[in-house]
Amino acid sequence: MINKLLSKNNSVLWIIALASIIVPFFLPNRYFQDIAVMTFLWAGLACSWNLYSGYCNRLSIGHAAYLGIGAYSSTLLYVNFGISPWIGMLAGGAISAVAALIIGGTTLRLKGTFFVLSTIAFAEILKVMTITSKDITKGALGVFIPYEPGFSNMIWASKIPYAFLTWIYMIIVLLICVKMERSKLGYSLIAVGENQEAAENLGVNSSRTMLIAFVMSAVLTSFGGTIYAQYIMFIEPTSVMSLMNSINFILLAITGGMGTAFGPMVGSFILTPISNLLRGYLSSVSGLHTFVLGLILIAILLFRPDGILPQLKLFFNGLIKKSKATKGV
Amino acid sequence: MEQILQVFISGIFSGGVYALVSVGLALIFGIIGLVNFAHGEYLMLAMYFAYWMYNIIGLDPYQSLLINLAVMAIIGYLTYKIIMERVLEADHSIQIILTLALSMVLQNLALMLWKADYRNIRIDMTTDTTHIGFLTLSTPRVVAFVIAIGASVLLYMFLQKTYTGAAMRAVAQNGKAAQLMGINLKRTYGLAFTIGITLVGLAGLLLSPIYPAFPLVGSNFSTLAFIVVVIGGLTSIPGAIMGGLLIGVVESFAGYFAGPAYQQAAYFLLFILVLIFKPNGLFGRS
Amino acid sequence: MLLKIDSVTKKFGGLSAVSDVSFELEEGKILGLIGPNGAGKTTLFNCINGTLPITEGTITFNGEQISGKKSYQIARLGIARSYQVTQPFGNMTTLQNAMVGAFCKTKSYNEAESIGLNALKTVQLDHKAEIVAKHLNLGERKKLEIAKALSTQPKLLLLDEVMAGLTSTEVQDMVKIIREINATGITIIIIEHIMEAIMSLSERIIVLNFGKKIMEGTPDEVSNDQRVIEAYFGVDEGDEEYA
Repeated sequence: MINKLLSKNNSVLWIIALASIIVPFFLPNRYFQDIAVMTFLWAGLACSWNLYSGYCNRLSIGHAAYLGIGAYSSTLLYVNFGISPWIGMLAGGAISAVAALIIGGTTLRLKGTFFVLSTIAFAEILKVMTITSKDITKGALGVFIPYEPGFSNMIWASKIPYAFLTWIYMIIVLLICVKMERSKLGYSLIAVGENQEAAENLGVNSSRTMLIAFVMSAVLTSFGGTIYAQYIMFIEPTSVMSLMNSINFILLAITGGMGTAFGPMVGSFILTPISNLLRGYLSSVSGLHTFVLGLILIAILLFRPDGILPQLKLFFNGLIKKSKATKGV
Repeated sequence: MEQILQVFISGIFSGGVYALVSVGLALIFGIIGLVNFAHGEYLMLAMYFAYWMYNIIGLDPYQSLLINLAVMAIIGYLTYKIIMERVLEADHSIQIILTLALSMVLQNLALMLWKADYRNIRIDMTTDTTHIGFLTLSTPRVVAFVIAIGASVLLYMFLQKTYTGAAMRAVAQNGKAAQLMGINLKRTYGLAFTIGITLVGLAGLLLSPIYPAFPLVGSNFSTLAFIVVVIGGLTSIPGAIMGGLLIGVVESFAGYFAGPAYQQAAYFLLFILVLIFKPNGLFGRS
Repeated sequence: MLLKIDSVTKKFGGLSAVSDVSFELEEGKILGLIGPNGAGKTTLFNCINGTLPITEGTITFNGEQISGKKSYQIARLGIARSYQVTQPFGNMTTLQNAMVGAFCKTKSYNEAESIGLNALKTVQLDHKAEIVAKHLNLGERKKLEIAKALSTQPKLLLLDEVMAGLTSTEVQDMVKIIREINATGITIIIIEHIMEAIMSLSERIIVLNFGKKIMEGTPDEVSNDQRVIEAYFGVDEGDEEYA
C-alpha cells in the first residue's frame, strides 16, 4: 500500500485528465472513438469503485450490481414511460443509494474476507432477481433501447457526444475524489482502512464513515450504469451484472493504484485500450484477450502491487525537476 | 411425502461433492489463510483431463483416477510454488485479486484450448440407476457421494491422527509459534495447497460422468464452495462437510419448489442470513 | 471532579481483569497507574475510553456518565489515549496521522492541519511531518501516539507506557513533554513501568494487582508501602522486553 494522500502533486495528472478529451477528435474512425468512450466511462466507474474500496482497502466484488441498477432504472423508465434518461439516471442513483444503505448496513461491519464474499453474494442475488422478474425486466432476454437520437434521450448518432459525456462523468468523479482526499471524510475513511480501532479512538465513527463512502461509491457507479446503457443501447443481466464486470473495476483500480484519486483513471487509460485492441486483434482465438489481461494483472500484483501510478509520479516529478533545473541555468 | 424425501436425498447426494470441493478450500484457507477464488478452476481442469483420458486413451474416469490425482497434485504444487508462495505475506486484498486473476487466466486458457463446447463423458454407468427402497438414484451420483464423503473423512482423520496432520493444525492455529517449534512453514503451506487442489480435482473427476466439462464450470463451484466454507465456520473440516450437505439440500428444495433459476439465489440468501446472524458459521465455534 | 470511576469491574468469561476499582481524578492533575504485568492497567484504560464495555460499575466524565458509550463518542467528549503497542496509520504521513484526530473537533481542512501541526510541535515531531509513519523509529512512534491523541484536543489523556523501550535521554525528553502537556491544562493518567519517571511526574499513584486497587497515595507513600513492594517490586522486574 502506498500513501494515499499524494494529491499535493497532482497537477500533471489533472492536465492529462483534462487534455484527454482532445484524443477522440484525432481518432480516425468510430472503432477507435468507441475505445475512447469506453476508456473514459471505465475510468469514471473505477474511480467510483475506488472511492470506497480503494481508500478503505475493503474490496467490493459486487459493484456490477450498482452498474446494473443504474442501467436498468433509467432504461426501464425510458422504454416503458418515456422518461428521459437524465431523470432516470437520478432515479437509478436514488435506488442505488437505498440498495447500498441496506447492503452496507448489513455487511460493512463484516471483517475482511466475509465482507468480500457478501458483496459477491448480494450482486448474484440481484442478478438472479433481475433474470427472474421477467414482467418488469424482460428477464434474460434483455432490453433494447430504441434508437431515437436527441439530447433529452441521451442518444446520439456520433461517438463524440458520448466521449464528452463519459469524459465529464470521469472528471466529476475525479473532482469528488480529490475533494474527499482533503476532507474529514477522506481522512477518516483512510484511517479506518488502516486501523479501525485506532481510528475510533480518535473520534472517528467508523460505521458511519464507511456507510457514507459506500453509498457515494454506489451512486456514482449507478450514474455510470445509466450512461453505459444509453451508449450500448442494449442491456441484459448476465453481461451487465457479471462477475467479470465487478472484477474489471478492481482490475483497473489496482493497475493504476488503489486508493489514489487518479490511480483508477491511469489504470483505465492504460488497460481499457489495450483490452479493446487485444479483443480486436486476437478475436480469432476466443479467450485469448482475457487470458492476456489476466496475465498482465498477475504480473502487476506480483511485481508492482502498488500499481503503476507511483512509478508514473516519480517519473513526472523527475521531469519537472529536470525542466526547472534547465530553466535555472 | 415420497417426493419430498426423494428431493431431500438427491440434495444430500449432490451435497457430498460440494463437501469435497469445500473441504479443500477450507484446508487452504485454514492453514495458509489464503482465499483461493480459483479453486473451482482446478475442478474444471480435472474434468477436462478425465475427458481426454477417456477420449484418447479410453480410460473411464474411475480407471484414470490415480493418474488424474497425481497430475492435479503436481499442478497444485506448481501453482503454490510459482504464484502463491510470493504473496503469503501480502495484503489479503492482493491475494484475493491475484486468485481472481488466476481464475480468469485458467478459464480463458481452457476456452482457448478446448473451445466453449460442453464435453460429456458417456460411460455405461452414466445412465445406470440404483434403487434403495422406493428411491431411485443415479449410480454415478451414489459413487461420487460415497467417495467424496470418504475422502473428506479421510482428510479429517489425517489431520487428527498423523504427525504431519498435527503439524498442519498447529500452523493453522499459530504459524509463528509452529515455526518456532521446528515446523517448516512453507513446506506445510505447500502441502496444504497441494492436498486442497488434489481434493477438488477428485471432485471434478467424480462429477465428470454426470456433468459436462466447459471452461466456466468451475466458477459456480468456487462461489458455492466459499458459501459452504463460511457456513461451516471457515476453517473447520467437519463444518465444511456439513455445510456442503446443507447447501445440497437447500439447492435441491429451492429447485423443486421455486424452480432452477432460484437455486443459486437460495443459497446466497442462506449465506447472507448466516453472515448476519451467525458470522462464525452454523457449525463453527465462536 | 473530571473523572469518577465507581466500582468498575470487567470480566472476561469468569475471569475478572478489573474488579471493583474506584477512584476520582481532579482536573489538571497527573495520576500514575502502576502494577505488575497483567494487573489490569491497560484493561482499565480500555474500559474508560470505551474500547471494552464494562461488566459492572459506572464511569463519569465531566459530570456525564460515559460507561456504555462507544469509543468514538468518548473521544469526542474529550478522552484520548495512546497505545502501548503503537498503532500508527502506517501509510499516512505523520501530519496526516495527527490530522485524523484533529478532524474530531473541526471540519475545516486548514484548521485540522494547524491543530495537527501544533500537536506534532508539542511532541517535537514537526520536523518529521511529511514522513510516512511506517518509516518512523520506536521513539518517534511513541511520540506520534501522543500527538494523535493530543490532536483530538482532549481534556483527559490516557498514556499507556509511552516510555517503554526508549533510551534514557528519550525518557527524559518524554517526561518534559508530558509536563508541558499537563501545563496546558490537560489532565493525564499514565501507565508506566519506569519508576523514576512515574514517581517524578505523578501527584498521586494508584497501584493495581490482579485487577484490584491495592493502594492509592502520593509517590512517597506508595514506594514505602509494604503491600506495594511485595506485589510489585518483589515479583516483577523484567518488563523491559514488553516494549
